[in-house]
Amino acid sequence: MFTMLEFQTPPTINIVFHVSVFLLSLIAFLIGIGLWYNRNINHLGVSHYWRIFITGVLFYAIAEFADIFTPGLHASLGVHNLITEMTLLVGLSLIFVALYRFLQDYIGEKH
Amino acid sequence: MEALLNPFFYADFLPRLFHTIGTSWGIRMVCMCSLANFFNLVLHLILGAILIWLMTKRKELQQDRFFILLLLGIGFSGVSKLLDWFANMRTATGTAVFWSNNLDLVVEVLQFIGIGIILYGIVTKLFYVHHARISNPTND
Repeated sequence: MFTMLEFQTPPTINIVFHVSVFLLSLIAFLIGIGLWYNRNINHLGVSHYWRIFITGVLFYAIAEFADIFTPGLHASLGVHNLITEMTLLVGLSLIFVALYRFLQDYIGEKH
Repeated sequence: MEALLNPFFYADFLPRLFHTIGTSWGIRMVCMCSLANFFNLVLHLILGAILIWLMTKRKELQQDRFFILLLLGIGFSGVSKLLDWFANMRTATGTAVFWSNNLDLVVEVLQFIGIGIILYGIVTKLFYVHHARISNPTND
């Protein structure tokens, strides 16, 4: 009834860069969550934009993990890419909201 | 688990109504991902525009490394999203599935550079601000 996406082995260089982007976002998430944990055990807490940012990076990392399979599936269509792009959209929105709020405070502090 | 994951790998797992609506507009609705891509691109444009507006309004921000890094990162990431959107729109409006390994590679490289610069800028700046606040509690 439905057409299944067929997996084909993609060029290695494509896989390398897809995995690199995933690892980059995963490392950023781990650093962020590590700082959050470190401040929590010292009873300090974190700012609201830091929490939004970390949640955004988590969504971004999940999207990039799913995106690793995109070149193999030749998937510029279908449920796989829709969910990947929607998760990426949520992640980027949260990162940019955190960034925008931080910028407001940063500009305010400068003057 | 397999039953749960299977729909994830179907190309056309959408209600017939969706397909019909798309066809009337000349769009293959199995590529609705191009819509999410479009909004990703718009997000980059909005934040890029805000940054440029701030930097033109306040000249001292043009010397601020944080703003330069952000603008550079958003530039790279934005171009990557533009190319990704172009590829998906080719599938959505064409008669066959568009796929190019080279274009996919360019998109990923630009995304890697762009998001790398953005994450570096944010993490170092926010971390710096946290430390500044710890050392001077009255600054809150």
